[in-house]
Amino acid sequence: MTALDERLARALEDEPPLGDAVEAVFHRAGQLRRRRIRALLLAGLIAVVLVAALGYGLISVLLPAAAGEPAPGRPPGPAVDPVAVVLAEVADLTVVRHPAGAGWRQYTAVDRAGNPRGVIEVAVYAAPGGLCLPVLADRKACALAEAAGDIEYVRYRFDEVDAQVNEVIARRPRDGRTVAVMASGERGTGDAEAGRPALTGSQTAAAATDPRVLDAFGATESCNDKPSICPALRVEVPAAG
Amino acid sequence: MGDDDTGLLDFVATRYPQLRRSAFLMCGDWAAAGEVVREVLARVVADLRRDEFEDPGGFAYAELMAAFPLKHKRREHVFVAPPEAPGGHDPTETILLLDALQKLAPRCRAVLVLRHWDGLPVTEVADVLNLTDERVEAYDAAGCRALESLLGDPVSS
Repeated sequence: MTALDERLARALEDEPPLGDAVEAVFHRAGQLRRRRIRALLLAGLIAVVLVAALGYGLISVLLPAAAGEPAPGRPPGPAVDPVAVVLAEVADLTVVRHPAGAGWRQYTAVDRAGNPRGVIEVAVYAAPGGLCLPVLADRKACALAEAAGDIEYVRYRFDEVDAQVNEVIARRPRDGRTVAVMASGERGTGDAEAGRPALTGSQTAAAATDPRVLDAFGATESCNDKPSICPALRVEVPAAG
Repeated sequence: MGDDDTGLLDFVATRYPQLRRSAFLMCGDWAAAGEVVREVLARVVADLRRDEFEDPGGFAYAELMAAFPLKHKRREHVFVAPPEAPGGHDPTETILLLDALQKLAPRCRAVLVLRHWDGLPVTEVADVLNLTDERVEAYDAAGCRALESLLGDPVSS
């Protein structure tokens, strides 16, 4: 042993007792382990969040339509037309709206097989004082109206050589709003079956008495006294009484 | 503490006193030495549970020496003699020695402690301090000369 070794050993003779140092070491090791586990879990969580955010970002950039947003530069889709919705619901058809005017709308219909099913025209009127809807056999007589909810209506059917027409005039007594729905089959096909209208009589009635159809038109829209710009109905809505 | 910790318990109980003495020679403060060694051994225990290394003793020495600043600090150390020195030795000698050690460069002090107190061979000291064998021998010789100069006595045999 060198002189330095001996001097170092003597300097350590005043060593205090160890106490519970060993227990303290294991306690601290347990704390360290728990800290490491927490750090590991936190790092994993951060990694998951980063991956999810990155994935969402990539999907948003590469597939904007998948994220529910229209692609930049793509025009927005057409506004939902409640009348078209009702027509498609009652007859399981594809209807296409065509330009019309204030107080009326016009649609062409195609069935599931892709066959054209003629034209559907819808026009609204104001008849607050009531209506006398004619009987086909006697135009001067008032027809007895049927009722669907708070809407009363009269159905008409016209059979031609190769086409048929179903028309329903419906009125809501509460406010006098009246709607005429006329479904005309394709003309000139030479085949009565091909000339069937897009809507049957009951489907036409269902569409005409659906409140969504009346409510789809603005309060000021009306075909009263505008026969030149509104559809030519087989049974005209008479002047309000 | 579970049964699996029995080996770790033996390791800590055996190593703690020796490491605390080495730490005391490095810093001259028993409380600070105990704190550093508890922290180092806690890391060793946590890593040993994961079987992270084969030489926990060497790792403990390396961690212990790394816990002390490698650069020399310009700071006064005031060592106070214990009220009653057991063993009948002069407490002034201890104070002078600790003071002289503190005046050495930290690496030089570490080499002296590891070589002359812990009795580690040059190669092991080199591994612990991440030095070459030649640097360890140079630090050892320089440290002894400096101590002789500071204490006024020969410290090497």
